Amino acid sequence: MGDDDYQALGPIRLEKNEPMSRAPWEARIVAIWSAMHIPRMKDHFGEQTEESSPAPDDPALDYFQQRYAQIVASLIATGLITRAELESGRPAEGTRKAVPLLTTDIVASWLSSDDNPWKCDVEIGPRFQVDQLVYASDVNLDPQRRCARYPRGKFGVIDRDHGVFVVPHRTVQRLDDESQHLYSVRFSACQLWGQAHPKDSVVVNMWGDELHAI
Amino acid sequence: VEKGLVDPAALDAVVDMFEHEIGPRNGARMVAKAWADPAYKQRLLAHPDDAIAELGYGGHQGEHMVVVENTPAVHNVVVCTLCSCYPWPVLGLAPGWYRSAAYRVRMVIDPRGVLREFGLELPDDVEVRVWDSTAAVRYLVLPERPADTDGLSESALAAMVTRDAMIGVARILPSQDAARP
Repeated sequence: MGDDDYQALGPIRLEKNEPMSRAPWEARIVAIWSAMHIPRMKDHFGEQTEESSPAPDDPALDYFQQRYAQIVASLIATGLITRAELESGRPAEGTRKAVPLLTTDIVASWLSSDDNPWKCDVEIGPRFQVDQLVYASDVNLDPQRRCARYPRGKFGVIDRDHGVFVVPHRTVQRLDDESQHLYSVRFSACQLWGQAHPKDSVVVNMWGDELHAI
Repeated sequence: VEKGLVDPAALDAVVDMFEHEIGPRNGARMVAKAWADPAYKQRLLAHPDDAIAELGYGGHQGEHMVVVENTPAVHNVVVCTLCSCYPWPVLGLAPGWYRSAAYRVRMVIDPRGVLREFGLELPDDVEVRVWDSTAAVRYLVLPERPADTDGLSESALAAMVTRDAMIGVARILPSQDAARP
């Protein structure tokens, strides 16, 4: 993205006392989207992320409209509803009412859980130490790994080691054998962008196999 | 609901959580405690997940947190360039501007210009650190405690803390309305 492109994004639109949602349907969208992340619900919906169910490429849609489109796509993809049922708002003729996948007891146990689905107890030694100079790989990686692209090919410094996490995989399934250390890496703004304030930096989360020791 | 896939009461429970149980007041309570209790502040910076759990917060979209401290020399600010990762248990749902492409792209490229749009002009000698969140690691800024707040109770301090200050797009100014003991 060039300087002209980023300027074209325009000013940040600020709103005082912005409500969580402006209409009940928006609150429900947030609730459904959140519920789809409950571990027991993932058995039915799969791992729901921005990457696995990309939002429609329409800048006119707001956050809630995008989430709605993603939920619908997922429900249809997993066969839980058909497009005809969605359009009519009714179950197809002759279908039995399902046993609810999402119930209040599931929500209650989810709310009281402190499980971290991606933190991993596997013993793996770190490849890098805090304050170590590293080089970020300049290669295309699976977007499911949730890595920012802008530090590729840049030099940075390890800011902290978060320990071992499960690497999100393109199959959108948890694969414990792909666990590795997750690091926060600090890049100077000048290293990233060329002309920038000399005191400024950006800290980016990166997997160990994206980094090389210098 | 018509298909019987979800119990409407279950969705209401989730909505109720967002509207009444989580939100920036949780983060504000945490910040106020850190200002008032140096030992807690040390724990919050060194072991944030445990320190946050001490106050009963944590869980979905806040499983692994990092707290970064603003000082007179360093100003921290949080963004998520990938999507809109945000620490729900302590800040609630992200505001619309945080999710916007303009904020997500421009904050990493021109943080001082974006902060200026929020009304925050930082001196040249202050270092700006932008923290780019992911689903695995979410950040919260521990703002500087305003001057002249000695003797205020934790609840009075918490009332001064704003969501924007905990994202890093604002500083906390002394409030004339803050209740003094």
